Amino acid sequence: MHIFQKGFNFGQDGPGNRLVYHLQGCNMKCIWCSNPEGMSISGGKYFSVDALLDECKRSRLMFYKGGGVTFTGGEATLQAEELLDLLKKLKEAEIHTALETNGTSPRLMELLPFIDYLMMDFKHYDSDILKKYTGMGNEQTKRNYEKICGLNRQVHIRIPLINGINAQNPEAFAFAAYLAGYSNPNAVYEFLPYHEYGKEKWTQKYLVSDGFVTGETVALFKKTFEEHGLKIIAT
Amino acid sequence: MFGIYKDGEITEMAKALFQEERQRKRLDGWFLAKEIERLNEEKYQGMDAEVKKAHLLCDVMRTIPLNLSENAIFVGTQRDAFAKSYALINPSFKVEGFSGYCNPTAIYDDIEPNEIFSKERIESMRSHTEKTPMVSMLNKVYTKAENYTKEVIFFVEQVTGHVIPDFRAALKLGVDALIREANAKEGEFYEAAAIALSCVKIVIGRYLELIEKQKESCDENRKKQLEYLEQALGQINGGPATNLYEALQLYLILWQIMCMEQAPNPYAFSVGNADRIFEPYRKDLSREEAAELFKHFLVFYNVGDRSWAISQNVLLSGRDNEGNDLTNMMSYAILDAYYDMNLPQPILSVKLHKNTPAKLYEEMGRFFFTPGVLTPSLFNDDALFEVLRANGIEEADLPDYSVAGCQEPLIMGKDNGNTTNSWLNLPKVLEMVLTGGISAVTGDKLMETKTCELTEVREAFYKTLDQVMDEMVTAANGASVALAQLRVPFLSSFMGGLTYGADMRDPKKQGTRYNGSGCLVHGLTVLADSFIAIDKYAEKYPDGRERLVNAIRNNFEGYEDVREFLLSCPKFGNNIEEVDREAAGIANKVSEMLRSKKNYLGNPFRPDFSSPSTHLTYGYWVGATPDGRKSRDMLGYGVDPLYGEASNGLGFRILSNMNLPFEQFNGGYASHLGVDPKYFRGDTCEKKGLEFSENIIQPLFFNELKEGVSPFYLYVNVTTPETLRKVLENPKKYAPSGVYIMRIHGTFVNFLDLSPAIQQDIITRLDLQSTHIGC
Repeated sequence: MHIFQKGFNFGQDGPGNRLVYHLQGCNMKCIWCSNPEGMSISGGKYFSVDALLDECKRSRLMFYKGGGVTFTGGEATLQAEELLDLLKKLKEAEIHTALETNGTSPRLMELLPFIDYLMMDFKHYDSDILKKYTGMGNEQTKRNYEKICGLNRQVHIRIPLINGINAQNPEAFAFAAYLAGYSNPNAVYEFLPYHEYGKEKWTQKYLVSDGFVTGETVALFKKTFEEHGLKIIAT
Repeated sequence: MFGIYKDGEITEMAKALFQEERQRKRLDGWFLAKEIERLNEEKYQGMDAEVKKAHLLCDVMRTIPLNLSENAIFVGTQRDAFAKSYALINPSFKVEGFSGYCNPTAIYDDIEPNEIFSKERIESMRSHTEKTPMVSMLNKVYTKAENYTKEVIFFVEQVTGHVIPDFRAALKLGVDALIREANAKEGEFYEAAAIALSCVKIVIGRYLELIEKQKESCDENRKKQLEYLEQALGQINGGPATNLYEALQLYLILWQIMCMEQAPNPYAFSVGNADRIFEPYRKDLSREEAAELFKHFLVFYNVGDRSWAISQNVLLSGRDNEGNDLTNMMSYAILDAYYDMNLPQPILSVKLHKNTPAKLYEEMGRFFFTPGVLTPSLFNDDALFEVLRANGIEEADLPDYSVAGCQEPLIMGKDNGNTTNSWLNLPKVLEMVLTGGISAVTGDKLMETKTCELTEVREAFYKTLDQVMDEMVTAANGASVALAQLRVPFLSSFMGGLTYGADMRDPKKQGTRYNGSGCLVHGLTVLADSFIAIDKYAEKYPDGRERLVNAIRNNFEGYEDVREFLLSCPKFGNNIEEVDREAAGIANKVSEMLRSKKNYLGNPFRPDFSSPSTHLTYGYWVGATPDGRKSRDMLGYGVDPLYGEASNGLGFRILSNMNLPFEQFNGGYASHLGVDPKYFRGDTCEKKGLEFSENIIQPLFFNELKEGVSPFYLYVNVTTPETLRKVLENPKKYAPSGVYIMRIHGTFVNFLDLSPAIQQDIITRLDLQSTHIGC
């Protein structure tokens, strides 16, 4: 598997303390991406599934408070074949697994049985607008969301809030209306207000000019979602 | 008393008092004390050593000039016990300045001649000291060990200070009660103790006279303050302390005399759990009021203009035997006092355990996340109780462990650990094994060793190490016996002397409940990385021994390919099994070897894997090592990976660290993390304090998945190299007070007061690549 970064993190990439692998390559080109170095399909350092499995096993001590291993990216599902193999082996080793995905993979449902904690981005309800800023529409993501809800399975939906892109006043309602259209008692929703932690890593021109959202905007989204019966969390 | 002082006046006075101390350019008291002793010595000829010392101490306390600042709310000073010569981290520190000789008369170079202290007067005292039996015994020790000490295969020293006196009985019962106890028993030590303890009354009497004089010329406001002080001194002039003010005052007077008894330079006495000692006396004082008084207590511990480290440690919080938390109101008051004063001394340490309240982590947040503010070092009670229990400490004594100096755990009032008695340099021993005893730095023949094949390097190493340890132990015990010439009956009275009837330095009769001698082991991770690199090299180049040794002898010049290969081998700190296991194996084996060696009283040596700046000075005397480290570069700090070698972040570094056998380190160990503040995103210091706990303390200290003894010590600096460079470039902007506190091994330092070598060491060892969190 091609990995461009790894490290431990607490509470932000799934429950407890987690070993986070950033897999190389992404099918989206989000203009606000905080890990632009992971976009290119080529690059990263290659590790065999067994080498990673061994490292995960030796890291058990750090999986405290319900922690484990999280795969993110880039977009981890672009390496679905090896990812599936490793997820299966981690489950055999009784290690908690998490996946953070943009939801665009048609193979997501195939991976699902081996993922204990799923985090899925839902960046925009409008496919055309999403395509404008990321290069990809939301059709597959919606299909995956609807299937997951149909299974009542755990999912943690993350919505980046970016001024000028998806965080204007009527948009909160449109987001909530779509997401609440599919009932799932095991779904939780989180807003990720825009930040610029990755801005300095961009080698191309950084195109977001004023992406920051106010506390009021976040509160409005929160209120609107709650009014639609959606459960909000913050990590 | 808070009616006597205006709102905030006590704090203002404490700050003014500290500024006064910073103006003090000379420290001559210790010299006067030595002269007073010399002048009176003859009177006590023929007396027992400790009785003689007790009389001399009385003479010193009767004669040494005393004064009382108008900003003082307490009387007392420890400044007269210290000379300006703490070799390790004073502003003139140079890495290359290490001398393999501990010359007890070198201290006379510290006192600059002037009109009062003429050159002749100084030289006369030096020459007198040179003729004392202690100096002549110590000289013999160093002369015999010279080949081993000159390039620090090992080093030994006589240990002054480095214990934690138990003053609780004196505060509770009064000094008269202790004198009565001593008088009721028979024997020379008890006689000496009673005489020495009477110094308290001598000192109080003299301060009362000073107060009387000051009252004649001061204003009404100050007069009231002095009358209050007078009243308190009257109470503790033999009697017990009845409130916090009296308790703090008596404590400081006891401290003053204890230090004077060991002048010059009694390093690393510690207070112990100040919160537990003083909480019973706080009574109806609020947290704010208690904090104000404690600020003056803190100022007392700052000596002279440089605020240099004398390694005096105050501890807070912790647990009891049942696991109950012992944090109290005084703990928080002391934290407030520390934060507001932000002084370079005394060191603050906080004892943690799995039931430490979240509030304590929240309150510590402001220390870790305010630039330039002191940060407490952290101890894990749960683990340390196990370590100490396994090494013979009785159950009832466990909560009373404290730390002498940086991090060495000792039991308050019961434990003489001679903690810095010996210092061992593992990579230098490896150098001896590879070169046949010839220094790779100077080419000098330092010792006899047989050369070996690379595949047999471990066996040869441990054989040589055993030989080195035997020589070291002989020298270290020699230094302890030499020091026994200088008895300490006053201190011994608070270390178990009144129970065991012996001076704590007595080389034949044990005067404390627990006794041992310390050995600071250097270069653990450099040795582990080196062994693994040798294995890999031998595997690839079975006939490459000579080339490897030549590469080391030549500091890799002309052998760059060898170095490149060695650097590519696995390094400790990255969660790589083979090298982590190697480091653990070395730590186990070395600890067991050390513990099998006996000190002057027949007690085991205590392994202490720490290196208080000596990873620099000792590294300077180690040639290139097979891990690819170049000649004279620093060694790894304590048990930490060598800087730059752990590059996968904090989690991986902790995982490597967790493999070490902490149960073996009953002498202590050192570990440091430089952490970038950017990882902590809470919007208040309190929230960041909790994040600090979640991300660093919980996994390291209280990891539910860890089998065996967990790590028990850590200090951190939350900053970046860029920030520190800015502080150095523009101190007026970033540290307008002239004080920017950093941590260096066990102690605080004012970053701006340090020598460039140490400033650079702090910056280098932040090593943020090894501690990054997340991705």
